[in-house]
Amino acid sequence: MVTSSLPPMPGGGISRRPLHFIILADCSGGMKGEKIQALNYAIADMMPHLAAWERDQEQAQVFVRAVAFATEPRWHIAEPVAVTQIRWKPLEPVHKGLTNMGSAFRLVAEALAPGRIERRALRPALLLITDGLATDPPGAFEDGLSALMGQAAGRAALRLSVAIGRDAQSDALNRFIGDPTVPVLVADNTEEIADRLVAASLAVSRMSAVGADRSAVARRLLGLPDGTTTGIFSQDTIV
Amino acid sequence: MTDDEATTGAGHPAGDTAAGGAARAPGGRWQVSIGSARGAAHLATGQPNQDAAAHQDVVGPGDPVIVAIADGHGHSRHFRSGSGSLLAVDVACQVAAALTAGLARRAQPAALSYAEVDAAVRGELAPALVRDWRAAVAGHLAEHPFTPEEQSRLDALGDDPEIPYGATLLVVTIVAHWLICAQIGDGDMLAIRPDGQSFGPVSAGEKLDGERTRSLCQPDALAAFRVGVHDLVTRPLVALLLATDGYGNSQTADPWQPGVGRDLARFAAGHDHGWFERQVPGWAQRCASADGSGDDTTIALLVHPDPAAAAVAARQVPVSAAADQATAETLPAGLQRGAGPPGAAQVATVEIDLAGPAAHADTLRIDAVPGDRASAGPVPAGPASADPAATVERTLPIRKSPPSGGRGARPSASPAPPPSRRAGSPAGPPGPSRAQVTGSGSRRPAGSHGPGSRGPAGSHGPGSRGPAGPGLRHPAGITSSRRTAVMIAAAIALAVLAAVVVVLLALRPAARPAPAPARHVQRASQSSSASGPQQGQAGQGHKAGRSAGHQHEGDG
Repeated sequence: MVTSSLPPMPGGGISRRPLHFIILADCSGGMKGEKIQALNYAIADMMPHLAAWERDQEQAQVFVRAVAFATEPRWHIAEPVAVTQIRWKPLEPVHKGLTNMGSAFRLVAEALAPGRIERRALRPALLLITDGLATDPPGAFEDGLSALMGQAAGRAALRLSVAIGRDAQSDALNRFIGDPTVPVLVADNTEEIADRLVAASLAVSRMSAVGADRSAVARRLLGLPDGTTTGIFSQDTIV
Repeated sequence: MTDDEATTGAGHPAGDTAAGGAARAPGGRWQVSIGSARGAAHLATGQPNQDAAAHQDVVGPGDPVIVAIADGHGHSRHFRSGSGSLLAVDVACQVAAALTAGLARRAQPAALSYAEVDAAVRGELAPALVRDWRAAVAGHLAEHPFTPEEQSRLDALGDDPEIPYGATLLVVTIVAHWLICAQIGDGDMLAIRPDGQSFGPVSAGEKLDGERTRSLCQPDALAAFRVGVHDLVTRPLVALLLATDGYGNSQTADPWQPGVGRDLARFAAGHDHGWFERQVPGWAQRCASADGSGDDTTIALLVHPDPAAAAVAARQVPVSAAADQATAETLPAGLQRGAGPPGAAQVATVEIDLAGPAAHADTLRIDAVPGDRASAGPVPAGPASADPAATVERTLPIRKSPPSGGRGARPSASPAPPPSRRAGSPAGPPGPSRAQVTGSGSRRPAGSHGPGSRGPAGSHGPGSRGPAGPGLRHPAGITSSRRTAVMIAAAIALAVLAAVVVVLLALRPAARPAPAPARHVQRASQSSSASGPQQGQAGQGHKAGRSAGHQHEGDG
C-alpha cells in the first residue's frame, strides 16, 4: 500500500489488485516418498516465477494459499501470503490417506465466498495437483465441485490441473478445469513436476493480466492447437 | 454555437494525463475537476488511454452542468473502444443537454415536480443515450471503415459492428436542484453529503467477476442502464465523484466508499476549486500507476459551489434517526431500498429497470429511501409509499440559496438550448465547445484561487482543526467502546483510591472526608460525551456532526 508523503488523496490508500492463487495439493498416501519431495521442490521452485511476474507487470499482487487434501482437506496455508514473502513449508503425505477432492473443493469454495475475498480482486487461480484418481464417496466429488462453481469467484477462476503420472489424468480433472480445450498438464515423472508447475504458473499469471487474450496465452503456454478458442478463459467484456 | 449552447466545457480522449475540468461559470454552478491518466499496464503494452471525459456547462434555466466519463474496454475484441468512449461522452453531453432543454420548455427546472423530472429521465435519457451512441458509431464507421483484417476478425467472432467500440458510460446532470444520473457498466458514482456520509446515486450493478462489465455495445444495452434522480433540496450534497473502474480497483479499503466520502467532504470544506483542479489529475495518475490498479483511470469530481451552505442545508433537513444515515448512506444504492418510515415519502431515488427498448413505464420501480427525510421538513409529510403518485404531487420549492446564480435569469419560455454538438463528427477534431484537454494540468498558478474561493484560511480549513486531524475524530480520539473502558478503569481507580482513603481515614480520624468517587465517574462520563455529537452547539455543530458520522462509519 502506498502511504508516502504524497499530496493528500481521499481514501485509505492504493495498492495493486490482489490475485489469489490457491494450490490444492494431493497429500494422499500414494504421494509419499519421491513424489511428495518432488512436489515440494516444484512448488517452492514455482514461487520465484510468480514473484518475478509480479514484479514485471503493473496490475496484480499475488497472494498464495494452499490446501493439502487426502481423506480430509486442511489448509496448509490458510491466510493469503504475498508471493514475495512466502517460505514454502513442505507438505507431508497422510498415511493411507485417500484422494477425496470434493471436500477440498468445498473448502476452497468457502474461501471464495462473497466477503471473503476483495471485491476488486482479479479472478482467482486454482491449481489442482494429484497423482491419482478421485476416491470421493458417491456424490461427494460432484457436491464439492458444485459448491465451488456455485461461487462467482469459483466459476470465474482460472482452473488448471497437474497430473503426476499418466494414470492420474482423469475425467475428474477435466471436470475441475471445466473446459475441454484446456488440457491437464501431465508430469510423466517427478522430474517433470517442476516444469509443469512453472507452465501452470506462467499460464495463470499471463492469463490474469487484464485485457489479455487468454486463448492466445493458452495456446502458447499450454500447447493448444492453433485456432483454439478457450471457453473458460475467454474474457468477453459483454455479459 | 449559440448563446444557449455550451459556454464552457472540456472533453478529452485522455492522453497520458489530462487535467482540468472546466472553466468555472460565474455564479454558483457546481465546480468540476477532471483528471484522467493512462494505466501503467496500457503504457507497458502500448495501448492508449481508452477513457474519455467531457464536461459541459449549459447556459439556460437551472444552469445545467453535465459531466460524462467513459471507459473503453481494454480487450482486443474492442479494438476501437477509445473512439467508442469518446463518442459516448460526446453523445452523453448532447443527450443530457437536450433533456434539460426539454425540461426547461415545460417549466423552470427549479419548479418542476419530481414526476416531471422522473418521467423525462425515464422516457428519454437512457433510450436516447443508446440510440445516439449507436448512431454515432455508425457515423464513425462510415468515415473510418474497418480494415480487411478488422472485418475478418469481426466476422470470425460473429460480432456486431458496435462491439469494437465497446465502452462504459457514466453521466450526471445537475439542473436547478435536480441531480440526474445514468450509468452503464462498471465504474463508480459516489454522492457525498456535507457530513461525509456517502451513497451511490444509482443502484449498485450486479457483481460480475471483476473483469467483465456491462457495455454500451451489448445488444440489450438499454436494459443494463441504471438511472437515478435525486432532489438536492431534500438530500443536500457537497460533492459527487465519478470514476472509471481504475479508481475503485486501486483502493485498498474494502469498501472504499465511506473513507473516500469522508475525506472528500473534508477537502471540499477546506479547499477551493483551484486546489481540486490541481489535485484530481494527480489522484488519477496515482491510481493508474503500477502502485494502483495499473488501469486507465478517470476521475470527475463535482463540488458544490458553497460547501458551507450545503452543510447548513443538510442540517436543516431533519434526520430523525442516525441509524438511517448509517445504514443507508454508506451502502450501495441497491442496498438502501426498502419501505421508508412515515415521512419518507419524498422519494429521492428512482431506479429504472429497462427490460427492453419497449419497456419503460411498466418497469419503473420507485422505492423509498430510509435515509431521506425530505417530507419531514417543510414539505408536508406523506405516508411511505412506493407509488410514484405519492411522491410527485408536490412541486418542490425553489431553494432559498441556490448554488446556481443564473437560475431564474432566463424566463421559462426561453428557447431551449439545442444539442450543442450533434452535427459534428465525434471522432474528428473536437468542436469549439469541447476543448481537448491534454498535458499537465494546472492552468492557473498554484495557490491562486478563483472567484468564490473558499480559501483554506476559513474556519473549515484544515489548519483550523489542530494536529489531531481535520475535526473528524472525537476530541479524545477514542471510540465509544474505548471510552467505556476508560470510564470503567477510572471508576476502578477511583474506587481503589476511595478504599485507600477510607482506610486512611479509619487510621487517621482527623483527615478530611474523601470526595464521592461516583461523582468523579459521572463527571468523567459527562466530560467524555460533552465534546461528542450530542453537544452540537451552534458553533460546533458542524464539527460534532462530522465526528458522529466518522465514528459510526468507522465502526461499520
